[in-house]
Amino acid sequence: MTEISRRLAVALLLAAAPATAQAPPAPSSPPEPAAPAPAAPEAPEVPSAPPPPSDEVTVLGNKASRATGSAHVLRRAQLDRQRYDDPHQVLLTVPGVYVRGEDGFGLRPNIGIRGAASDRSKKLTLMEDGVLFGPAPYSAPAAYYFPIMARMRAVRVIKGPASIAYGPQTVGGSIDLLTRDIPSEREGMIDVGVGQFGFTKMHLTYGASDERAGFLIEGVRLANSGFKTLDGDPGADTGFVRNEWMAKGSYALALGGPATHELGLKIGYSDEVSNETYLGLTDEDFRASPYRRYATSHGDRMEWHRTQIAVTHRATYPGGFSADTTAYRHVLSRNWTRIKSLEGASILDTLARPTVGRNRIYYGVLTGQVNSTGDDDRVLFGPNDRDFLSQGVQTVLKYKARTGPVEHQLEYGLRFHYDEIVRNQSEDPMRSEGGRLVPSGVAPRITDNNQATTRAIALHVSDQIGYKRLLLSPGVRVELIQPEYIDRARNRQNRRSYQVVAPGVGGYLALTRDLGALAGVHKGFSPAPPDSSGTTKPEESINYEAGFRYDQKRVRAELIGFFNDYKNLTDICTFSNGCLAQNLDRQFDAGAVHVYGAEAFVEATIRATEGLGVPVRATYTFTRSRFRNSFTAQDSFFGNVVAGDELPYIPRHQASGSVGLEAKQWGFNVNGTYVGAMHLTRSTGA
Amino acid sequence: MHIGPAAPATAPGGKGLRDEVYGWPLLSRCTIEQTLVNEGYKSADFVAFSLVNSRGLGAVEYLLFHEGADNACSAQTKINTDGSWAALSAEELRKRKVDYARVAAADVLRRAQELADAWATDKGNFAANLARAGEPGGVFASSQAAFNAMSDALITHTDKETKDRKLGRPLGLSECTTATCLDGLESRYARRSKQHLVANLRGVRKVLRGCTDSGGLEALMRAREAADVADRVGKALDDATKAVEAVTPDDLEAAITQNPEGAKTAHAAVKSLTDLLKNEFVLVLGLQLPTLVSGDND
Repeated sequence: MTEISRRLAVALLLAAAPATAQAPPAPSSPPEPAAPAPAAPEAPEVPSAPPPPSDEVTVLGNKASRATGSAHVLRRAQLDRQRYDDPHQVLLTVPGVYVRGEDGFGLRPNIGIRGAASDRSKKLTLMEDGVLFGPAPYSAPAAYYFPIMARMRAVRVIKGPASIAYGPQTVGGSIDLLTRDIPSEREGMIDVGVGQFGFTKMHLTYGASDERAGFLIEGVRLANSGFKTLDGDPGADTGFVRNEWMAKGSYALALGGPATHELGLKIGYSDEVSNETYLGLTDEDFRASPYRRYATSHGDRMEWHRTQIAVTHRATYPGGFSADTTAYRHVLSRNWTRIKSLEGASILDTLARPTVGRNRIYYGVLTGQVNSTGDDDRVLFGPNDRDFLSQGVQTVLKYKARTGPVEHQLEYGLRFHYDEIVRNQSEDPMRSEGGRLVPSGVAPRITDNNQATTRAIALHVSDQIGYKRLLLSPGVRVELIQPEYIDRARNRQNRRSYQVVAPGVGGYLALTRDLGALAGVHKGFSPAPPDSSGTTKPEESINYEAGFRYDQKRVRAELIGFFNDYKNLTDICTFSNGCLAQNLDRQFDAGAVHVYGAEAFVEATIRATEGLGVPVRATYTFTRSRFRNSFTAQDSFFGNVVAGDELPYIPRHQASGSVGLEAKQWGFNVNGTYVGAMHLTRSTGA
Repeated sequence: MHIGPAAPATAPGGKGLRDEVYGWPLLSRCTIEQTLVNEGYKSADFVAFSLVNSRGLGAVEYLLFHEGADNACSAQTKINTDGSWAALSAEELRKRKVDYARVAAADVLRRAQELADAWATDKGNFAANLARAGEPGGVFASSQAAFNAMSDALITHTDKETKDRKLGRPLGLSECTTATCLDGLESRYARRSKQHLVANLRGVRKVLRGCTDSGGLEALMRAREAADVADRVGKALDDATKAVEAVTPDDLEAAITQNPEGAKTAHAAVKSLTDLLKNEFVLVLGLQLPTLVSGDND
């Protein structure tokens, strides 16, 4: 790490800036001089444990309504209206966010923001309580783990220049899931649900605290028997069981004194067993029965378990200085045993043209109508066993200062991070007999035996500068990344180092007390995963946005236009995108791409009568995209691209709306979403 | 070779006609024998609804050359449990095989004619698609895509089909967990495996050198100042052809059993050719290696 240490020293020098002014959260008229303090003797104060955070959620120290870039916060009240467990359903209500359903439950969500590819949410910085939760955010960013939404009290979606405070993915944006707080007094909750397809939900919490310490225990269990029907065994379980436990503790280190110090501990355990498959259907079968599953997928099964631990120290000092330091370690082990291919053909090709030539045999084998008779019509079935580790320590320092009329809110962030993925994957040639896979007697074959690791140092600095009606937030993010790839099966190894500097600036101008204009530009970045070639480049873009925001007590509205100028758009090849075997987990570059559009949002609570409110929310997103170059990619996500083609899986129009009736003790809400047609591969024109 | 109308339907211009004419290695004796029992070949829909593993040249070969009264179905298969196979007299079985072969051969002729027509300059003229590669509405999105399709077909045909399937597996050198895997031999009934190998290499020669031995991809290599690579590919092809022709006896199954070294020498010579094709040939022509099978490794 000598080279990284050298570069870190340079980055720290670049980031060093003199302490300047202190910024209030919103521009306001100059403060009036304070009245002299009364002369009465002061009673000694015993500072209590830091009060639990309010329901207000901030973005770089500001309320979302005053953020100098596009940011949305879904608060508890909104999350509680529908109590979705599927993150797709939650995030579809945020403008500029696209989702692509896969298993129907959001077990492995596909989320994209403003044109960034949605596959496995790889292009987003995903955090829980400000800490990366992806299995290996640098080495293998596909989100095979995603927390259960029922545990969250709020969700922050940060899209504009504020996203440079969170990395490594800044090209699309960030999602930060905020977990339940330790209650200020003894409190518990149990939530039980039942539903269609054998759905059951059990959610319980219990916690308490006093002025010194507190704790919270939370557990969630979701289960269902699935909505798909397996050929030949209609009662088979095609669903999943998911458990998630979290325990939090806090302890105030020092009571008394102007400074506060608090230690926090969060530990968690999650697991899942899901009978999920990648084996799809032919178009004709899908039209006839979209919930059908072919017989040979009966053994497909995903199992994983995850542990997490995070230790946090929070300190606040007089004069507006605070320091939050977290050390974290997440370990995920997953094994997806399932059909991978046919011995002599591609499943993709077979299902695309099931009636042509030998594909009829392969289709018959997959559906169980035809038994395997030779080598070519054997089914390759086996485990994709992967172990992940993500650990690090991060600290965020904040300081408020003021010089004359200018107020500053400085933030320094530093993170040392390490993650790795170890893949042990094999395939077993099986025969299909009567729709069941049986051993063929041929020995299993190792397909992958590799390890990818990344060491990364991330630094970000920002300054919220406030002057009268104007808030300006310049900032920069520096990432020093050292990926390494070891392919034991093919005896190849590669290690390299590179750095990225991603600056950005956002501004907010209060036109009136409730109406403001915002604009920003920042450099987007997405690191290249470790691979054997060592030649893949990170994804880079320059992202622009501008718009207006109206925020009054009961009404909020936003209209923002965005333009993302990708210098090098990339995709990491996965089978969920139709990837070919030798290209899996490889990155492919698509060159320059433009993504542009507009987002509109309005939220209001109309007072119908005393004690009865009508919450209304509506969002709309318009998106267009253009490849700037023509090329042919081995990644089927791109395929043969002609300049002017649009990106796949980005709907041109997307909207959501909800309306309800709420009183103190009850509520009723109706919501809907619309996702316009989108290309499944790159396509031209209208 | 799997290019154009002969290629799978998912390939550019593909119509899967190769499999309709000859579906090897997909051949299901049990399916054929069940069809002999139920006389399904007499149905007007037989060709339309039957799978390629029960018709085509492979089925014709079995029907004409396998004289045994056994079947390849399991003891639990209906034709064995209900005695319908055993009830067929030798004469009746022979008659049904002839009738079935007649239907299958007529279908082979029809499909082969369809394939020939697809290439005929006065009919389908598929070669024009190669010449027009990259034009709007064409089969090939670019000339590069057309070249890749050609090289994919050539390398797949030589490497996977000829070297691995027809020689390597029977010899026990690939995809075989025993000393040999003779059940993987092509043409087990007519015993013309060696002749088929020679014909395969003749096809490779036509693609590399053109129909008059002066064009083809070799000429392209020379035009790109890679005459050395062209010469070495040509020599490797000649050596492979001679090595295959030298295998004795002519029955490849007997050769593998009695004189395996000759067959292994032929395999090694074909491997020398395919190594050149997969490396230097692809490199000098700026091509991509074929992607044979897609798999899921998420």
